Amino acid sequence: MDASGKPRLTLCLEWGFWVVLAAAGYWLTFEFDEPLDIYRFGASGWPRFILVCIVVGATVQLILGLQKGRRDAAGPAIDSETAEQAGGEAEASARLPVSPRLLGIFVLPLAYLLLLPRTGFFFTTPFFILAFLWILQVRRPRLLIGVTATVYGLVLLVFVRLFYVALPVGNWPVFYDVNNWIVVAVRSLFAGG
Amino acid sequence: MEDFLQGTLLFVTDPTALLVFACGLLGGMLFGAIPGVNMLTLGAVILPFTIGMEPKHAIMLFSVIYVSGVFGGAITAILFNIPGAPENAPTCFDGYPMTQQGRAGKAIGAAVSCSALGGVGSAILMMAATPAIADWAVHAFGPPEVFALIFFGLCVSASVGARTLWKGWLSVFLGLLLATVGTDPAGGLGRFDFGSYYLLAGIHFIPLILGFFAISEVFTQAEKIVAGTRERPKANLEFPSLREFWDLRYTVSRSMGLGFFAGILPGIGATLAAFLGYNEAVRWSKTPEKFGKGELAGVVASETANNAATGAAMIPLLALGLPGGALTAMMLGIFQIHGMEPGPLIFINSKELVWITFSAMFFANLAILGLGWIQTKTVVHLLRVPFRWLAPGILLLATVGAFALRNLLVDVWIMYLAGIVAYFLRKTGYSAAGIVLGLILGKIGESMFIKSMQIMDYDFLGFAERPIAAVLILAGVATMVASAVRHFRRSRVATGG
Repeated sequence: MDASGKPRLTLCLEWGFWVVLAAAGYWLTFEFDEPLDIYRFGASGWPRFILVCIVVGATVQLILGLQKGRRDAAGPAIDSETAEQAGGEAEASARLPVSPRLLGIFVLPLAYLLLLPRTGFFFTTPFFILAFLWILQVRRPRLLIGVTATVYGLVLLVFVRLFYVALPVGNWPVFYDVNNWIVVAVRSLFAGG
Repeated sequence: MEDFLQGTLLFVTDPTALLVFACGLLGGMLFGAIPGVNMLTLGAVILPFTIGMEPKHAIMLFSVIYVSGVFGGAITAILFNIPGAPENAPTCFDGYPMTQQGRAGKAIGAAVSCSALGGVGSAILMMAATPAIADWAVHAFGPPEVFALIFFGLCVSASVGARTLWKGWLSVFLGLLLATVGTDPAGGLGRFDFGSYYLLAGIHFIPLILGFFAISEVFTQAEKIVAGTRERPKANLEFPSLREFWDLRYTVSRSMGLGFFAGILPGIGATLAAFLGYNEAVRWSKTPEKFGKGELAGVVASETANNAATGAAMIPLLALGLPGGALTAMMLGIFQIHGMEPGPLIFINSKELVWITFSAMFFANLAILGLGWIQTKTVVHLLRVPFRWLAPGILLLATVGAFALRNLLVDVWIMYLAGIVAYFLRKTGYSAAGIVLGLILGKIGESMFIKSMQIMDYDFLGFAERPIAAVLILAGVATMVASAVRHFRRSRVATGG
């Protein structure tokens, strides 16, 4: 692969992403393209116009990018912006998250979200805080417990006691009871009762 | 002047008014600063309790919350890249990079001073010219003009924050596309809802903003922590000098004018004001490439404009009974609760209410200056706390904020997915600002376009027959061409072509 190979691949991938997005979007517009009496362009007119603009924009970006790449490969003078772009993209693709710990940063919140409606906010949250701190390389037990207790305590005080936000209490039987018990305990504890 | 003095006298000699003022000021600042629970949450919570209040106190309370709430959101936007409210989103663009460069004190100092300045200027204009300005703006700005204004705003925003012009435009288009999810404004048909009842209501912009700014920032910083490359920003308390403010006098005046103007227009309000102020600061700058990387003018422009819009938003509400946004709509609710009807006659029938409100807004802006400085000195120290301790708290705040909006987990999913998408978009040089602006303006833009087409009988040349719309569309096209030419020239010069 030549020097400009990586940016060229990135440019093509980007173009592909936008075109696939636009094509899928355009296909979906047929679900709501029935004529409207009060508006000539219908419900699909505006989204279709945007999707066409996306394809045009992505294509122009691809053509200009490829032209610049060719110019840079032909001559010694390098467009600073292209160089920055190419460098940035090459650097970005080189820094894609590959380590398990980095993957954990993305996966952990999603796992937390999956669990929230089942095991409830109040039961799941302390474990989520602990796990996230662990991923961020906090290892001292006193810190792990201290930060978890502080963050969890503040969230409970502000959102449960003061604002009465109805957070998910879970739908698995035991967890439902545990979450409700925590809510009642927090409200009575902070109320001083 | 006489009316203002009378209003001030009424305000300072009424202990209930002073108490209401203090509660509104502190409540607005606090709720504005906590992501997810903004001034609208506070407004919604206290609205039922206004039944037992005097109308003048209730309206004054909401107007003070509006002023302080818009300012409060700037603090978290600057320190943690979490805008407290959508109108603080452009403050993130340069405020947060300034924090990373150890200039948080300067950014917050500028936000405090300019919020107060914009708000005071707007309050004075509001007092001086409410009926006349409201009459002109509401009659001169129909759907075609508002659509043209949005078109102009989008043209400018495409050149902000992205690595290249085309990435800027693609970011704006993505935002516009996201805005089409849900019920269409013409016939009420569901679009891109995948059969989901929740998506029929559309994608709410607050979870997306939290995802684009807060969540993606946590991911970015977490990645740096894991890789061992993160440097802790310095908790610097150096405030902007008078010289720096003087250098930004044109930015401040321009943003004040734009903010005031955007605030008058019903349905536009402080969010567009902040974006317009920021965009114009970029457009007029001699060094536009510095924006998005920690330019003080970016913070100044956005914060002056959004606070300038608060006073202006009261004009159509009081003079014509037209609310400009959600909080002013709640104020309309207060009028209705108390059996009153805002309109031109309110200046004659309820003079006391009008002038006590105007005075309170004026003093609330002055109070921001004092309280804001104190808040700055304390809040900046949060930067001394290691980010790895704060990160779970930020994620939880955002999670609860997104959930509390409509009590829907789908909003939290949207927020996290937006965060992951934004993380990769940022890496490839796309603009979060463009996406957010496209999303916010997309809904209003389409609605205004539909109304324009119906008014003009589907004749696109109808825009040319309306002077204000024509000027705004031409300005938008000129901006587009100028950005493209600047981009092309820079390219040619660099390659020696």
